[in-house]
Amino acid sequence: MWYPSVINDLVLATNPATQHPLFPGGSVLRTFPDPLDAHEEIWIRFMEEQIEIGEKDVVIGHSSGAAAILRYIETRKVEGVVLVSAYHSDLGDVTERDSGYFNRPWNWDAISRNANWITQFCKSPCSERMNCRPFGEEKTINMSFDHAC
Amino acid sequence: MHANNFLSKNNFDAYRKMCNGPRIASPSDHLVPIEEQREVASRISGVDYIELPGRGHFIRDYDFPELVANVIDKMTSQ
Repeated sequence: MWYPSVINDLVLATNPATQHPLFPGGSVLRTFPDPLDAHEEIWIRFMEEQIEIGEKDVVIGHSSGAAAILRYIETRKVEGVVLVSAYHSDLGDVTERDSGYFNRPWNWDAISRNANWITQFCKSPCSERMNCRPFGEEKTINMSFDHAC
Repeated sequence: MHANNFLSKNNFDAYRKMCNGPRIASPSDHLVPIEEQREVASRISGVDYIELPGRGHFIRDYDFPELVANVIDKMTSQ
């Protein structure tokens, strides 16, 4: 997984003009409670009370982490946000529906306003050139991930 | 600039559960369809939206140089 690598790279990152660290306050890479269901009420509380995300922080969220960040910054300011594989609906999945993030409209204006910058990374659809295999030929988890965006 | 916080649940069990379910049982199904992600991008004013080809749900990568470069660029061009 890329999380430790990204954290390590950003901890070492410096401003080219000043050579000062970009993140002198350090980095936080934490395993969240309720990891299977990722309920909004548990995660938002953890982000606020345990990690204490503040207005000068950059927050990176992957998958459910992206949904949590989107809800978090509806009512709180941060410096920057990176969303990876973000979604805004339950995708028809019971676990996602029960997580809480998707049971009400999103305040996109507030989300856009409460971060100085937001970057979103997404995967383009697979193509034959990329040697993606048809879904259903195998049952491994890697197979599934090949075709997820 | 304070901490660089990093949020994800490493939810491999849930991924397995989802991938064994009917929602992704056909070739057209995805863990998070790209249309969904494009919809998110369309709702966020000023978002820097970047599509990278063919790396699934960003599960099997061990590094993410595009993300690191983007954060450095954002933090040094403010």
